[in-house]
Amino acid sequence: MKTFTLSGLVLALVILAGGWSCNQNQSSVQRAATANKDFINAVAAAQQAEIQFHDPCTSPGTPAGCGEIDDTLHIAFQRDFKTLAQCSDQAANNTAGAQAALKACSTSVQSLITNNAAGIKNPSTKASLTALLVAIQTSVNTALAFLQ
Amino acid sequence: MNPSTINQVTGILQLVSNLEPAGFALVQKLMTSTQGKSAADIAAMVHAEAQSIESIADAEIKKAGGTP
Repeated sequence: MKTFTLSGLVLALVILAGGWSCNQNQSSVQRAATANKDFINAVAAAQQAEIQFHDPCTSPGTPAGCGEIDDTLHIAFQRDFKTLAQCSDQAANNTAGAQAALKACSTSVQSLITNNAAGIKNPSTKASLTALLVAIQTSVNTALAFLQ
Repeated sequence: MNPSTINQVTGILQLVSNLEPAGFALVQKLMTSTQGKSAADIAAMVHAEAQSIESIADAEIKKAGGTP
């Protein structure tokens, strides 16, 4: 395991913070939009991590956890990331239907955590990816909260 | 901080320690401020990110032998 880096620490803090640090003067619509942006950023982060956990350990410097997700599970993950990206996009572009779109996102990410992440055998890889999936769930719930 | 939160933080720290330089690029992306931007501006940013995620997902599904 590599030594923690400053950028890694900042990334973790940014994900955990969600939309909390955004401009407090924003309207609830803008806050929901910002939280939705945090949500899709969290999806992108989880997608990149999942790809690294799927890619084979063929080159030096490949991260720990490489090659631990098989092709079938990788396809399932990527399909779910695509679904999440689509519903976030839908929420961003359809103000009236944003709440319904985000609720669908929330259901999808719950399924992603309970089904896909459960298929990862290595406990460390499973914990890392689950943490990023939970960050997705937190951000989508934050966006939903601003719309209610 | 409860044990569940500690586990989440530990998991994220373990992961991001393995994500260089991808982690750095993500930090730059996540640090992009939405402050002062309208909901429409943010929607455009979300749309661009969604397109990127979808095209990466399609490429990965194809590489793994699936149908996008």
